[in-house]
Amino acid sequence: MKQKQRVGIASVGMMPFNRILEETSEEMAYRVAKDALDKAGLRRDDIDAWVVGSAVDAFSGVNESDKFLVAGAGGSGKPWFRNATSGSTAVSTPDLAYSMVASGQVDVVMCICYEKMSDNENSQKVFNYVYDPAWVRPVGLNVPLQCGIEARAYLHRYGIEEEEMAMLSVQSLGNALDNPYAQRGKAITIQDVLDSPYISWPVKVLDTSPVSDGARAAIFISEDKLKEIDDDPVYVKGIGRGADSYWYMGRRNNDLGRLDYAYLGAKQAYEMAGIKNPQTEVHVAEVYDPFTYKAMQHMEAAGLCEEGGAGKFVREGHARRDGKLPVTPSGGLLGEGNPIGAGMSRMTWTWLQVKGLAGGCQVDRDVDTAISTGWGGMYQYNATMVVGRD
Amino acid sequence: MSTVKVAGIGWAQPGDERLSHAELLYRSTRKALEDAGLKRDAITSAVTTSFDYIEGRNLSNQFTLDSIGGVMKSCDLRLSDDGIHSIAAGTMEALSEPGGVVVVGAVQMAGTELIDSTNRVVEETFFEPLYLRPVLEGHANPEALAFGLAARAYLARHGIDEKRLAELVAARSAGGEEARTVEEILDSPVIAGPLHDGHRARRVDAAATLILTTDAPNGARASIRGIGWCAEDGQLANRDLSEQRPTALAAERAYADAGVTDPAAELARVEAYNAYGIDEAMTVEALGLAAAGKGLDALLDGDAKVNPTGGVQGSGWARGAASLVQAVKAMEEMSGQSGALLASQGWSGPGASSSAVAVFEIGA
Repeated sequence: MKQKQRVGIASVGMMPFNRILEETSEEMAYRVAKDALDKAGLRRDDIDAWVVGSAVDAFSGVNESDKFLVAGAGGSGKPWFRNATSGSTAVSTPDLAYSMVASGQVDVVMCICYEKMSDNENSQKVFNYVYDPAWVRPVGLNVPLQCGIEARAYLHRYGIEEEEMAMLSVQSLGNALDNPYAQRGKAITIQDVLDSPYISWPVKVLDTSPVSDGARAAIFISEDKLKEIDDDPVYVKGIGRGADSYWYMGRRNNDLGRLDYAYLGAKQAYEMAGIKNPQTEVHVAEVYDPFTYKAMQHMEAAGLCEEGGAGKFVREGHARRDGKLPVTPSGGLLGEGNPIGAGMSRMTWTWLQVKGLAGGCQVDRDVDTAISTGWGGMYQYNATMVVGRD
Repeated sequence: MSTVKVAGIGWAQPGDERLSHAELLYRSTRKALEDAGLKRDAITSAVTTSFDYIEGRNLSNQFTLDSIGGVMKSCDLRLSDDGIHSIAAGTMEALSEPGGVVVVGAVQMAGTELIDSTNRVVEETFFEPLYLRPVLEGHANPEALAFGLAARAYLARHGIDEKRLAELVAARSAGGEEARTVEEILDSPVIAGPLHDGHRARRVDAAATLILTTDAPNGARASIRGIGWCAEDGQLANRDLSEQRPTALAAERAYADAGVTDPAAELARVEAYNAYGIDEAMTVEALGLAAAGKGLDALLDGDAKVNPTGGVQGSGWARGAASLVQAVKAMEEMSGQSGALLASQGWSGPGASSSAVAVFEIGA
């Protein structure tokens, strides 16, 4: 067995997010894998192993759904894993790809995250199987109710206003207008958001990301191999993952308003990357934002602003694409769409930003260091990845 | 060179108790930590395996985070594969952060009749919806169907009588709680010709845990000498079902890691997944322990190093956790055989389209 080695990212593979009934998961995997290979100038035979991620089988309605992607992704006859941690699949899967290369066991890993939700006629009903059948399911808790409870706790704890949530929605949907892969680029007003129906007070429809299909790919590669194909290498500089108890009513800090596990994931990632002050050392962030208030919680946990200061941060425009620390300049899940497992899109956009390849979404500053986050499980997992150049 | 060690092991089955999956994994993890001489606080990360549809829960691993001591840790990784796959992922996790303590765990309530008829859901969703599902709609046992097709292809290709396969399953089940004779197997209902219900291992609930680390000051149960894992297309029509190519490729890699050049001579024990019997016959060939078409002969007439306690046919089949449970039991039984090599294999996917192999050196 070989020794630990440094890990970089050779390229990413993209495709538009939308409700795509006419395309299978295998075809989506093919599209993004080929896009990533073409951009890196690599061939399928150059890949040593594949790791794929999707949130849960129930979204696609296929047991072990990844087994039908193998050929399309180019992985037949090769090492193949599938990771599934719900929304945090977005970063936990690339984390797994990182550890595979870092371990020295393989040099080049194709990482694909995907979700096919349009086949499912009732995603909410399916999602409710996430609740424990003995204790929680009979109470009637569901995901909208749960996010409402959590959002209320967060807003109450820090004095955040619904209008500030709405400002973030306006910003993200507006950013998505410049994202060629986005499902919901739209010019809306704060009043549009405030007037949209509540799904669970204080969370409204326009505070929520749309259901979507899609996939993303990224090629993780050892430093030596990366330097052979890229004279401006971008590395994985930090990773961190935190997890709290499944039991929603029994979290370590007894406070749903503060995500201790997200602070932990960010702390680990920053320590590994040698980042002491993220507000000055991180140049752009793509935070996991299925709801506006979640984006704000994640901004605070990642130290992009002061704890409890996300509302003010957004209100003062610091998170805008031309702000002092742009947050989700791609439009995020709110604007780009939210095929849950394919939330790795956040990480792929950080790579594009560092490489200066983000097109109309490119921020108005030099970018050497960028972060992405993922969030999942029963509102209990969080992961942070730092990418950048030396 | 870093070597990943198995610092502790544990397994749990409910016996006469009624235990939840969280309780099962708690028990196996508690045993593994005690075996390793470690406290829960030492855990730095974890990789688990489970299948949601079998469990009847979305994201079934989220419920067991507390069981593996994972609260406020990096313990979220979950593979949708069988247990041995998590050895490969856990080994790489340990090598990427030397000095860490990685919990590798698998739990599956495969033997419990769950609410909402989830076993039926598994059967209805077993194949992808566009090509295979419409063709096979109404078939009562789609997973068995994949192995039935494999058994038909294998037996026809090599001119082997169906009775030989029943003899293997009868021998393997002999020491278990639900022993079946050749006659009982062949008289049982056909689930996917030539497979009868008697060929299929009895489903049970079980959990297993290993503690992996590069640094085991309290000694180790084993060292991980080699890992290999591989998948082919899940579409049945795109594979030669008469052979286990994913296992052969996984073994090739694991043997190369371990420096094994003559597996028949060098391996002291092999745990080969045998939920339907035919998988065991093809697996021993893929592992290099028998020539093509000679797997059944080797298992019935050869030495007893493969599945000496009957594999999952003997001790029950917790699909999703089974290969890890068998590996842990084998390590426990081999304690004292320092230096002996154990190879453990497990599969997942339709007709074993995905496979993993791990080679352990006992007591190293």
